[in-house]
Amino acid sequence: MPDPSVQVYIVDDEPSVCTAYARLVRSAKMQPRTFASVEEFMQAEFTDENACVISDVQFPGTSGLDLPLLLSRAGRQLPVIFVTAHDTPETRDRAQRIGAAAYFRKPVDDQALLDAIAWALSRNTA
Amino acid sequence: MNLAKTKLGAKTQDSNEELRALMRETTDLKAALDEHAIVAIADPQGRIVFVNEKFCRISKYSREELIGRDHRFIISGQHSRQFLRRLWVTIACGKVWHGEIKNRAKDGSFYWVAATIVPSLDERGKPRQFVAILADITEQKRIEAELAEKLRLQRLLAELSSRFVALPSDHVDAAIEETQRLIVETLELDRSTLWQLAEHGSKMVLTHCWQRPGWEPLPPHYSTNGMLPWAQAKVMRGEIISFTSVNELPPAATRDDELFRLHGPKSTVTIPLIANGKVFGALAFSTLAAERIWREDEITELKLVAEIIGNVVGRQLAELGEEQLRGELAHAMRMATLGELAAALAHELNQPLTAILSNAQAARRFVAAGEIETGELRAILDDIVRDDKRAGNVIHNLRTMVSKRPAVREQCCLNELVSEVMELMNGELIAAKIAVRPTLAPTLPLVECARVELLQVLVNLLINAVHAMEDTQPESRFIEVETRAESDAAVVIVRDHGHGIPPERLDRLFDPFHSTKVNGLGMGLSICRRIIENHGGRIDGCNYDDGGASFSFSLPAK
Repeated sequence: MPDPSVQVYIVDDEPSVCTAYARLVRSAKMQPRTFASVEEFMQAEFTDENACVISDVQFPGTSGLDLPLLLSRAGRQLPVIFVTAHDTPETRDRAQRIGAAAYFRKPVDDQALLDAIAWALSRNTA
Repeated sequence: MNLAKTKLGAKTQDSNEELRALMRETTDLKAALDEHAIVAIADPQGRIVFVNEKFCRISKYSREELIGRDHRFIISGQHSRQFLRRLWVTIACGKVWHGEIKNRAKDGSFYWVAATIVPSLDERGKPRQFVAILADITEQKRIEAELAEKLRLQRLLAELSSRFVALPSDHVDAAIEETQRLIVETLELDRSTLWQLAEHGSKMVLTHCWQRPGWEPLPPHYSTNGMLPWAQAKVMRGEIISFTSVNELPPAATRDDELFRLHGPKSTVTIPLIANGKVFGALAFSTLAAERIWREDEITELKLVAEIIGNVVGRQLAELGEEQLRGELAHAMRMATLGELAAALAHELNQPLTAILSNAQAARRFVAAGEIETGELRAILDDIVRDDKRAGNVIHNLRTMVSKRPAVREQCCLNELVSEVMELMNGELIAAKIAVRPTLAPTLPLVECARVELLQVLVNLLINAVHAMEDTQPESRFIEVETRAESDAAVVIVRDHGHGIPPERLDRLFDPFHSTKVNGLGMGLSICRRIIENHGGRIDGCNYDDGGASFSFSLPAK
């Protein structure tokens, strides 16, 4: 870090939030890509190498919490960081159980998010 | 009797023996007929040539007064000319006529007969005379009329009770007077008046009146002012006043008696109106032209009418007194709605705040690294400004909803309100995994409304729909929201695919405290109705055969 080859996939149904995360990621010299839903992300082509996901939890369609399972079923190895506006103990517990790399409440602080990305990437490559 | 002679005429050539036997038989038959029926005979010109005793008795004319007169003079004049012509044509061409005739007796009273008129024909087939055999069916007719009237009254009552159920308060007065008119016309009365106690029960003031045209109208807000002490005291005790004639009034009613004789009524049934165990007025039905006998069952029905109207007026009075309380209630209701909305609102505020924070922090990092482009910075700042305003609006809406001040009315497009609510409810809907499918009319008449109140109605309807769909299968988890333009109104329909409205609730859906939800708001739909009706609109709810419920409201176009 900073490593311009790092890909950060941003999944949030709110365009303004996607744009803002993307700027934050670019300001940290990483490559952002944004997706409006879990489905859109799962249909896209992406790499597992040097990459991670920042995802919202609640979507009109598939829940963000299903993402780790969908990824592992697809044989992918990609850390997922959750950022939610609905922070409840149940959601937090569930995120932990399904192996989320990190869990934050919106609005999220830049340093905390970037640290989590760095930690997730180091763990994934380790 | 001519009848006997006629019959005999054909047989004159037979033996005397036979003749005598026939005579005897005919006399017997005549006696039997006279005993049983009313009989009259008229000549070919329609002049009466014979009447039996029974005819004289029922028509109250003597035989001398009848013989030689045209038969038409006893017919009441209440039959159409067509009816009489058809009768005459039938018998004039030699056919038998059956039918019912209303006749007028000498004293002016009416009586009904079932008639069979048989023409006897001469050798050339021309009528020689007409024999009328009649049966008195006056009583039967009276009972028929009474039954028909009872039926009309029953039907009226059934309609009344449903009419008043969902009546907006500003339509109540017209509906009461319309009811008075219907009763007066159905029972053939002259006037109905509704009185309400005023000045702590010292007098009664006329508030609603309907009377047949031609009678001098009572001045509006006419007051008894102590002129009817007996009647007023009786009503205050909760007793019904009923008299066929002023002559029936007791000695204690001297002053009432005087006024009645001077200004009417000739007869009345006056029923106290009671709410919460207290008399607050009276509903009177009266005749002004003639005395009238009031049947027990009529009085019973009128009591029902008084009960229905009493309920409505009582409710109206209570509403006036409790307007303030209701304001508080509406406020409490809004607070409860807010509670339901807390999650959605948190989401609505968090989204812009998240974007603002990340944008600002990204900008700081770009600046710190000295690699910011002006274009990028401007874009970031624009986004921050936009999201900040969005958050501000959420808070503003929140404040108007919590505010106790009456909402200001403005011109609104319901499409915009629907979009606004869908945005507001986005988080709640996502959490419940329910989609909203809007079908918005391309052009919708503007309505004048208090936005915050209308938002509240929409939020309530959507929250209800979400709650109703808790157990709905994934493929049906959607709510259809439609707006529709009508000639003079804008309509919103919210249709869910939930458990539907339990049948026993259907008719009391909008009553307070009739929640179908275990953890429901209870007041939700009743407040919705109040809001919509205050805007001059209507709200309805119904079930669909294939499951789910639909609520719709319409507001008049501005």
